[in-house]
Amino acid sequence: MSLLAAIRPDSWNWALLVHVAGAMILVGGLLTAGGAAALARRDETGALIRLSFRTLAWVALPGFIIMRAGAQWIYDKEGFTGDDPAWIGIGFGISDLGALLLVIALVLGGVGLRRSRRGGGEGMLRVSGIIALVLLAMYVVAVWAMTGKPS
Amino acid sequence: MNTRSGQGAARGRRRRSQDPGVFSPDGLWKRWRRSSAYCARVDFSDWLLALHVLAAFALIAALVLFSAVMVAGWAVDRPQRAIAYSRLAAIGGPLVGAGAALALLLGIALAIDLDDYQIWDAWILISIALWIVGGAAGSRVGAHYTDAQELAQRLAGGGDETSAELAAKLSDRRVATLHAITVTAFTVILVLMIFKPGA
Repeated sequence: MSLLAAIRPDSWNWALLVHVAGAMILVGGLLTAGGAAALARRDETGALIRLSFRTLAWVALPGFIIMRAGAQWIYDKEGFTGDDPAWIGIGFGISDLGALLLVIALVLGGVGLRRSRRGGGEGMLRVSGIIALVLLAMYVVAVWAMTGKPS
Repeated sequence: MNTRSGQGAARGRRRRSQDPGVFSPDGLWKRWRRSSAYCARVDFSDWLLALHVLAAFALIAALVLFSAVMVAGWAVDRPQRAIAYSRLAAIGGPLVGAGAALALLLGIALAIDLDDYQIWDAWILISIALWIVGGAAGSRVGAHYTDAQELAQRLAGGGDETSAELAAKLSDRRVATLHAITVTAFTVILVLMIFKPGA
């Protein structure tokens, strides 16, 4: 790890705050969406499976956008020039794959929610919730990598 | 998530690392720390920081979950639906408890481990005070929703009829204010952890 990166200048604090706050909202949204989907089988009212998709759309997606914008902001401030340390690779890799999976979950959940009004779409909503749980596990690894910074 | 970026090497230098000798308990502790850091390729302090931040994530994620449940369940008057939401909220209970306790304990351990910070630094003491305020407000919110869940279960025994009492319990503005205090307290702690004013 570069000694230049050992002390974080105060001017990076806002970028870091945006990044961490976005990540926390994202993880909270995924926990809620995944948890609601996991419990939906025992819920005859259908409230949890709808809440699962709505949390993905209204909490996890904005959280992802804030987290990713903060990541790019602080990355630009750190001034890495191609020889990024492993933890940055892990973070960006999980973020990029996570974006793809989040979009898939949102599309499946959106179609599933529309079909659920006609009595179908449960399977799609469930898959959307399962993807949220997979994303949650991925982001736990990302949080560890970003803070533990394995060399 | 780039908390205190790239500090592993420098932090190692800043730690209280005067080796007291292999055969003293402190010496054995420091040797274990070095060997575990070598095996995992992650410095001991970075492990502490990673677990501290993961605990904080668990805590905030649970607060996001409670907020979502509170918004979705606002003024719900049917017991079955209230029970469904309370099952989801039950996931957050252990997370918020374990997250808050571990974030505090590991944060204190970090302050002891690193020379740059002291446990009596103003921003750390303010954070601990806010932790107490957030915890106290949050536990009152939890007690209120436990009562609401018990009411919903009682009502569900007689079918799924609407209940004004349940709706009033789930849309209590005083409890929403207490939840907002909890969220604000832990958000201010996050800001203090990043900006570390005076450090």
